Amino acid sequence: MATKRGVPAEKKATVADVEAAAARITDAEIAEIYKYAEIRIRVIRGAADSREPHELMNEAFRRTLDLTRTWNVDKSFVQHLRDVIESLSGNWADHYRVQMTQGRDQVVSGSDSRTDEILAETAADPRSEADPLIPSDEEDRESAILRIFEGDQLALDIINGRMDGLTTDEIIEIIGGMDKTKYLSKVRWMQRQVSKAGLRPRTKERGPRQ
Amino acid sequence: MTDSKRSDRLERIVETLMEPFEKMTPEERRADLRESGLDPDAMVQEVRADFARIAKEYKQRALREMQAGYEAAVERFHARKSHIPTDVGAMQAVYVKAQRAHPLTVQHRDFAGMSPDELRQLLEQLDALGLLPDEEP
Repeated sequence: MATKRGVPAEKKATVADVEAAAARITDAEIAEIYKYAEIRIRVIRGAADSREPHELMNEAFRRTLDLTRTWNVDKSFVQHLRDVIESLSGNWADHYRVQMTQGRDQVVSGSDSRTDEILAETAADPRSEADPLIPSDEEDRESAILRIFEGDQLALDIINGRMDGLTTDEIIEIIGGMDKTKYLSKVRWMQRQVSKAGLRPRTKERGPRQ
Repeated sequence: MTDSKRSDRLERIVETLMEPFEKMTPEERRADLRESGLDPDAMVQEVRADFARIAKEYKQRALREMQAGYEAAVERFHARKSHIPTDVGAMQAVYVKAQRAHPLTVQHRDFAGMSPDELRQLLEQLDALGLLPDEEP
């Protein structure tokens, strides 16, 4: 996680350091950050609404440049941007959770017009039901992702194993009959399923809001 | 489960899904992006253009803030109430007080050969630096 705390003064990047790093970044590294932002957005689907990976990348870069997110120069620039993207998208998800919780509470106690509107939008959006990455009230995001792979024991074993802290090699060993190439190929397929599941039309393409 | 643990588990899902991409060569990454319906060259160009625009906006904002700070300082300087008297004797007294309060090195400290205008200019400079004593009530 990228925080100001704990970064010694001499390790804190200056604006010039950030500009130089941005000038040096390779196309493959940009692709990596983009992919990471895309997966983060898919995983927090709903909380990210119609935001795009570009927005997440730009915000991470903007906050690094204005030094509100301190980059420790001992860490790679790419890793730093990934950390900021993780943190920002986590904040979106937290904000969304609070917003929806407050909305529900206010609906119960009489509510205000804005939160009613938010809840009405969610309820009226036909994709809410169709999009398996938007968790229902009773389940969390983790369960919503697992739901995509219902019936696919290998995918579930991989996800559960990783969530429980196992390494790739340990999972391959436990599952058996699978080498690293097959594992990566399976995970790549899983990533596409998550991307597909999280695809929703953009806000501007939505029908009229009620 | 705490929010932090939940968030760690979710991050591990993201890391898992990222793993194949991380292991790819630059060419394989391009191919993967193309397969997902993206033009890798256009995407990279767009990101570079966005970063350049953000850097430019940041510099312009910093420049505007500096300029605003300078203008505010000039305005404060012009708006300040001068403590400098008009009478030569009183001007000399103010200078002597300032000299006692601060270690000043000034030519003609005994005022010999210093015209009233020069003395006034000197006091104005000291005033701008905040080195003149406060007016006695």
